[in-house]
Amino acid sequence: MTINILNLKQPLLWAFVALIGMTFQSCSSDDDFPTVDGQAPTIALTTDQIHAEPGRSFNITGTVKDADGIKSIRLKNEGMLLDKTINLLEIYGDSLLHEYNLDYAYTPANDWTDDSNFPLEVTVEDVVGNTTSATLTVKGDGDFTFPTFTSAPSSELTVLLQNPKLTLNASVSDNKKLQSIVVDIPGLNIKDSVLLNGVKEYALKKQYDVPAKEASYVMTLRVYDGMKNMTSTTSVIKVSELPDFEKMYLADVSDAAALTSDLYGVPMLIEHTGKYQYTAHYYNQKAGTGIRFIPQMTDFNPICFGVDENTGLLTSNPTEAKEIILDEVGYYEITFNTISGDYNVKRYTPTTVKMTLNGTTTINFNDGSGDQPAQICLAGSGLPSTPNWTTNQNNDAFILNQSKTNPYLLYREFDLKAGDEVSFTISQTHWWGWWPEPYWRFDGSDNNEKNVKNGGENMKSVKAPVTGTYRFEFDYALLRSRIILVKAK
Amino acid sequence: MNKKYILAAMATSFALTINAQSVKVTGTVVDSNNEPIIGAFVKVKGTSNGAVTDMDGKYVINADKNAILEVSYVGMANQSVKIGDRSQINFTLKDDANDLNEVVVIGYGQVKKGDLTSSISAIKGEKLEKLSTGNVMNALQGQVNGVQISGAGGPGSSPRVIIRGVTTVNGSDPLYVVDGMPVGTNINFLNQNDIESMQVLKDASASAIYGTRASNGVVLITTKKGKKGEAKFNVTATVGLQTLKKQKMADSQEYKQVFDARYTNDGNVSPFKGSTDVYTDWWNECINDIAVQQNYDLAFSGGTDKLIYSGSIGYYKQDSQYKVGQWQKLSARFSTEYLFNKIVKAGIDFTPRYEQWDDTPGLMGAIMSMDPTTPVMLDKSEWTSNPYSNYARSHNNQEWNPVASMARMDSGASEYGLLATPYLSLNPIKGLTIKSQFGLNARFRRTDNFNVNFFIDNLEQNQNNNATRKMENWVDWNWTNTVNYMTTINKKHNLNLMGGYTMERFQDYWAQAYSENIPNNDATLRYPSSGTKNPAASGTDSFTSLISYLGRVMYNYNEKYYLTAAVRIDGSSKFSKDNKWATFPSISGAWRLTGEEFMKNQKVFDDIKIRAGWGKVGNQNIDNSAYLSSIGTTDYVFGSAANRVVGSTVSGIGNSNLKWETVEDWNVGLDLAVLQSRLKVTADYFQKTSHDMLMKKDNLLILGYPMWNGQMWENVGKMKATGWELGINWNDQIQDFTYGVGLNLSQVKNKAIKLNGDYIWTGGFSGDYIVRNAEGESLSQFYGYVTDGIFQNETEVKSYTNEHGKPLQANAQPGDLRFVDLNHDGVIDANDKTHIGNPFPDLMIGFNLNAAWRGFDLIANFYGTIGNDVFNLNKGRYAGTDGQNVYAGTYNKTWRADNTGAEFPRLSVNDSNMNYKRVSDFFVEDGSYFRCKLLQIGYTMPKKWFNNKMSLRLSVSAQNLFTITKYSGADPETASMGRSVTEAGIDYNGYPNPRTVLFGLNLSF
Repeated sequence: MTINILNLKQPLLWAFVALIGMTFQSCSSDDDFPTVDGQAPTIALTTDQIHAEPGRSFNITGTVKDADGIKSIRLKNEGMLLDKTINLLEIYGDSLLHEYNLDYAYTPANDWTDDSNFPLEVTVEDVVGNTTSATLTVKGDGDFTFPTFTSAPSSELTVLLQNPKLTLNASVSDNKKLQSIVVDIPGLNIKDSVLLNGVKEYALKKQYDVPAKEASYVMTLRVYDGMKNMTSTTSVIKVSELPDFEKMYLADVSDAAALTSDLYGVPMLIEHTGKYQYTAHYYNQKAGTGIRFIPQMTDFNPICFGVDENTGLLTSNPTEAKEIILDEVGYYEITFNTISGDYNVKRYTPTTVKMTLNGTTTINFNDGSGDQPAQICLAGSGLPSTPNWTTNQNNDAFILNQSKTNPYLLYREFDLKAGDEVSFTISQTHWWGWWPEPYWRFDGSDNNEKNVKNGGENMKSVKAPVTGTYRFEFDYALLRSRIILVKAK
Repeated sequence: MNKKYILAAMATSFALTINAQSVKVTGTVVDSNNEPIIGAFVKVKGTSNGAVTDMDGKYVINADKNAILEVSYVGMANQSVKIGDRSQINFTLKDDANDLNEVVVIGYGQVKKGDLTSSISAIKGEKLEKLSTGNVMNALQGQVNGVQISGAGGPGSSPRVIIRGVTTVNGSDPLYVVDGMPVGTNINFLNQNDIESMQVLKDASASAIYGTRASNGVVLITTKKGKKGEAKFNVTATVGLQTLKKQKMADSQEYKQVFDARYTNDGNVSPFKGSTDVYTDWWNECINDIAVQQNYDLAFSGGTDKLIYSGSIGYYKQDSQYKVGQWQKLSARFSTEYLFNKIVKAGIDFTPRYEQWDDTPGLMGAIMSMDPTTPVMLDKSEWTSNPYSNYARSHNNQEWNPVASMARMDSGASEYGLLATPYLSLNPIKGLTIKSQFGLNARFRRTDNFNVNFFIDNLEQNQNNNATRKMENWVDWNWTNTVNYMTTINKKHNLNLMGGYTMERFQDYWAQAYSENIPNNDATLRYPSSGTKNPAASGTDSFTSLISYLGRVMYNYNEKYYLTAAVRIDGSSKFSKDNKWATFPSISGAWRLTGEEFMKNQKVFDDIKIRAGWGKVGNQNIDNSAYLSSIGTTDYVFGSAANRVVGSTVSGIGNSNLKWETVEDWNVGLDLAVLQSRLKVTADYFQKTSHDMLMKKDNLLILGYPMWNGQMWENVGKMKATGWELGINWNDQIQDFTYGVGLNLSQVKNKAIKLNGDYIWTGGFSGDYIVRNAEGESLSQFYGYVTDGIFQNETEVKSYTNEHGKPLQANAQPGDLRFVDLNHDGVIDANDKTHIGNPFPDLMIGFNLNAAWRGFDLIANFYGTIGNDVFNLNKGRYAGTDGQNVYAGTYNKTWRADNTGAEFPRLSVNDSNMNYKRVSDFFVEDGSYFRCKLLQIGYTMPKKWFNNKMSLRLSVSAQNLFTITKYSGADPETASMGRSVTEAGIDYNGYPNPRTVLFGLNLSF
């Protein structure tokens, strides 16, 4: 029998094509990965429900397995604004994973409410193309944020023997709801609890009688939120004769809240010139401003030096201490004695050489850069629309304005967002970006309490508590600066 | 149908149309084998009267008795004959040998083009004259293969010339040699009409004879010489009108729209000042619509048996497109040669010149950036007595007023120069030439600069006016002595021997005076002695010298086998005693296949030549005193009173072990001519490798020099350039229509094999660098982040995390660029940077067309590059990243929630995602372009109109007529230059190449 080769040609060709096709089908998938068991992947999530809190990160965890090898894991929910594909082939290159511990952090948006509820779909695909999905419910009703003291008592509180009353002011807040606040002074057997019934903010005002004898007591304030998250603060209460306070501050605000809304510089540190003796130098920007003196920075209690209208002398009792009114705009020198209550207020003129910063004067630094305009700027980080640490006026240096009424006063307003951190040196500009003299840094204290010309320490960075417009002020005669909140946004 | 029949029919019909004159002439045209030539063109010289030979090579023509018949045919040498009383004239045309007999200048000698064994490109001066330019190298663009020329458009600017790639970081300029005199790296001073020919020595086997400075290639320029005969005069006049492509910037409304959006998008209040009712078009205020270019030349030449002479006077002026700035030069040339007797002749080329320029400002960036809502001048009520203070300060950015900057500009220079090359030549016996040439190249330049005092604003002012004057002399000389002997033994062994000795010295003297606080800005007080404060003077002398011994043997056997060997021994003052001398050898050979017996009977190939060459050349482009340590003065400030004390310090660290940087080069090539030499092909492949490349390296403190930040020269680097070239030229003639098409293609890859152990970063960008030059990589590559589009919504932003949910771009918002985590480590940082662009082209293309028909001629030259990238800095600068003005239409190109398909990221004042602060491929564009460099149409009027006494040609041409490119910036050619070979391809917004329309006239008599 003869076989016609030509007749066999076509069937043979088709057989060959089919064989090739089958070979490819059986041993490959997307990218030539061999099939091991051809089964779909398995997902074992740690939990199927997560209670989340707005702004607080949580983790989606679980274990994914597949004998063929895992290609990718997709996390998807439209309401969560999440559509993430973890491409393991891309991340781990040639290492084909058969088991993967999923651990994916997610931060809920601030507009989530307790009613927010999202079914998050977790889909795993293996290298052969098999997929498996699981759903995880994410709710917005979690509360993991601890309540905070927006205004806490100072760590040391002095109660005077002459007036043995402890006046307590504190403010607390919580992102969801406050449950209670507890005042605990074991030495005085005080354990005072205030129920807050789910409010978000609360201002505590209490007064306790204290035995009129020299002693120290530890006071702990505890605040609890709805999920029993607790935050505490501790102060030492000293009952004593009036001490010779090492530091004394001038407060030109009437509201205690204004003492803490600044970034730094309020209240203003004054000079301790002798035992119980203090001298304050102050520029009064507005006629009729009232000032008082406090040894603690955040409150007018428990001690505040002001005028006792009955005696005409200074008193340390906050309830009786009235403001000393400064009638004129200008520089004042106030001296006082905290024991005798004597005080003296007088106008004076600073002797510091005035700078002319309106562009008509120049400085030559003798460094080959030529004559440059006399200008003072803030060279630092976190300043809006300004490159970090530059003094280069041609590179958007943060140049300060000079007050038209007081040449010693330099200022500039700017916007900060809550959480923005700022630190800087006050410096003359330089178009090479150098830091020439004059410059002013700080005293090294935690609160940047005074400035030092052509020396000092780096500023301790400060953080904006709220979003708003702030005003920086620097008086190079007083060597004091501050950043105050002008308007919250 | 057969070509023969067509030609015959055409010939017959053409002949019939000719108006009969006095006599009828017939004849036959044959080649050297007595074969009839079909289609040869026979014409009456100086007329359009012509005929074409038929299938038997026969022609018939009517012509005047006194006329001259001229016969031409491609691949054959033309022949002319006076008719006289004859009625039959037969012609036997000889092979033209495809221009192989053309003489080409090589280093210290000349040779028949057909005998070349190395890679040399020659171009005739007449081709260069077609393009009107300040620097003749611009006219070479696209004409010579393997030579990358990037033009900068400004008056007096020099193009960047790279011959066969880059093998050193120490400059890329070739060595220019004019009539045997090395003239440095800038030939702006040359009058392009004076050039007889240019030769580009591309490989080391050709250039090694200039060993010392030949590593970047050598350009030999020969100026025109006189010819025996009647005095001939040639007048050329060209007037050109230049225009720049206007950059379309936003008007006041759009500027404010973009400015405000930057703030409002970030949740801030816009601090915009001023009014959109005011609109200033800063381009119109600063740039002229038309700038004039003028080029005039009068040349003459002639000679007798004893004396030949030639000369010219030329004037060239190019105005800046800005309202200030120009460059002009007046040059003359006188060349004579006198033959004393059969043995002795002497000559001199004498080229005096004068150049003068007012600096062209670099204000393109300021013009484009300036706030359009700011008026040019302050309100008259605010004017002061100082007119320079009456300009307005930009309302909304820090840009200085460009009109004010132009008004203040007062800087320029004038230069006198002389190039003289007297020589004496002896021919004591046949074939022996002894020549001694002295060359002098002297330049004297005065540069003046005056800065006026003015006050526009705190940040735009100069309190101290000041004047600077610099006087600088360069006096270079060389003395070249050569002996040349040429002989032929047994009619087959052709020998050409050359030996020589040269001395060269380069001197530079300068002095500068400065003072400030001049009583006023009056024009009559603008010199240093007017100053009342801080007078200062400085100046130095510097010299370098070179002594060289050279020798070359050229041999060929029966014009079939060629061998050339050359050596140059150089001693340079730039190196210490032990390393002063270096030897640069080269050898090359060629085989002409068509000279072989087995090729004799074939008709396809007219010429086939295979070439190969190897050589070593050197580079000494370093400080004159790099091997010496030096001491300089320094200031130190003591105490709080800031007392300045002048002391001494180590100012330079020498390296006595420095030696020559060398480049080793090999080349193989093929020359081909086919179809009766209508088609010519030249192909070359080459590789250049530098050794001991000179680089600056950080001071090794163990040496004991108290200079922690000092650097010293060392022989540490190595680079390699590899590439190929292909030139294809077709020339043909159809009756009296002649045409030619040329295509030049070349590619070169530059690679840094070894650098100083560290990366060389160039091209500063927001505290980073655009270019990273790294060992083992191509030169000058852009190195940055890769982007993957723009985030279109919150989901995309929020989902752009690592595998653990950590945001890869924590500050991103919809509308921001997405940067790729290339190494998948879950963080976007410098480790994700990669090569994002290469500024050197994959292919350079030159495409040239020429055609002539009767009196008309046409030339079209095109040049282009393919595959090169440009880092477009302007893309960020004018896209609303700062307070600058923006390109028109920017607002609609930027991303907004209602414009999500936008090309540019969202407008932001803080740019916290660093869209415009990161070096990324967002800025990288394809810089490929194809440009019509020249399109020229000329018409030569019939001589009979002028009684055969004069020839007049009129032409109109356009330079840079059009450009095909996808590049969005002003000029891809300027952009491709960057600042240097290690910082190439960054668009710094330089002066673009203008479009120029020129009208020319050429008169010969």
